[in-house]
Amino acid sequence: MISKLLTLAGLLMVSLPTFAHHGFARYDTAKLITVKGTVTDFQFSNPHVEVDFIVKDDKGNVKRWAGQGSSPNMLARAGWNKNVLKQGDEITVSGHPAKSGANIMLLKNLTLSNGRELTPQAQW
Amino acid sequence: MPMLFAICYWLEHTSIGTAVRESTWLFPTIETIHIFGIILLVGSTSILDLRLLGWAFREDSVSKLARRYLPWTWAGFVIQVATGFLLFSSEATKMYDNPSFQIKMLLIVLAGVNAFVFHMLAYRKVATWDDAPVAPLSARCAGCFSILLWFGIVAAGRWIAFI
Repeated sequence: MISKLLTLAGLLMVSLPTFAHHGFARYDTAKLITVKGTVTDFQFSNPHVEVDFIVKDDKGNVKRWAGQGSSPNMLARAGWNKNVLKQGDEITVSGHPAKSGANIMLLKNLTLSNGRELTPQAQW
Repeated sequence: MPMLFAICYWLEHTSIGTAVRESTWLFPTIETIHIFGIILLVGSTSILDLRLLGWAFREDSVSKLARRYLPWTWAGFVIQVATGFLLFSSEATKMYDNPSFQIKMLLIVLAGVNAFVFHMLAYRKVATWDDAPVAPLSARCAGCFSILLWFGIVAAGRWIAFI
């Protein structure tokens, strides 16, 4: 049990390009990019939802990306829940990229291969 | 250290940690209570600190203020530990390497040591200076450290989210 946890912990410590927390200021909201990718992890978590995915370019290079959403409470009102995405889902993602050039973005729009569209726009 | 990370990982994946993390309303509700708790804790302890510094409440004896407000400080502390633990459990692996969280925990320990030393030394002989408008140097230092430390704890707590 303990050794399993330690192995897992070790793996996680060298993890994805990710963001600590809040801070939408890190994104360049003047730019909007769209990429196609495959979901590797989906965390419907407070204080911010995160979608991790990989993107393959024309040469077959694989890049890891992380998309940041708003809070579960806001996204729940926009129709999200913890089951809307799962590992392996093919997605088209639009978002504001990080000013730093890191492979992270602020999610704007997310479309699944079946056409289902997920937006971070909460509806009252 | 990885052992500590493993504990964080385990905690985060308990049903409690998961429930808080994935909740729509639980996390912000606990966060709200955590803010009320800090008002209670820092507000009540600051009354005593200001008295020790001789900046306020000089007409009241130190022991009277301590008797009246320390129970509120403890109540606030219990609320903070309970709500803080729940918030921590929801994102323990993120907190593991969050410098602001680490500083906050360190400052809490220092605030505890400061209060303990004050109660073991200066406050033991409070009868001899209870009504003096200006407390002895060691008591003034304790009051000063306490205010500065709690200021730092609140600031570090807030900064956890932005670092």
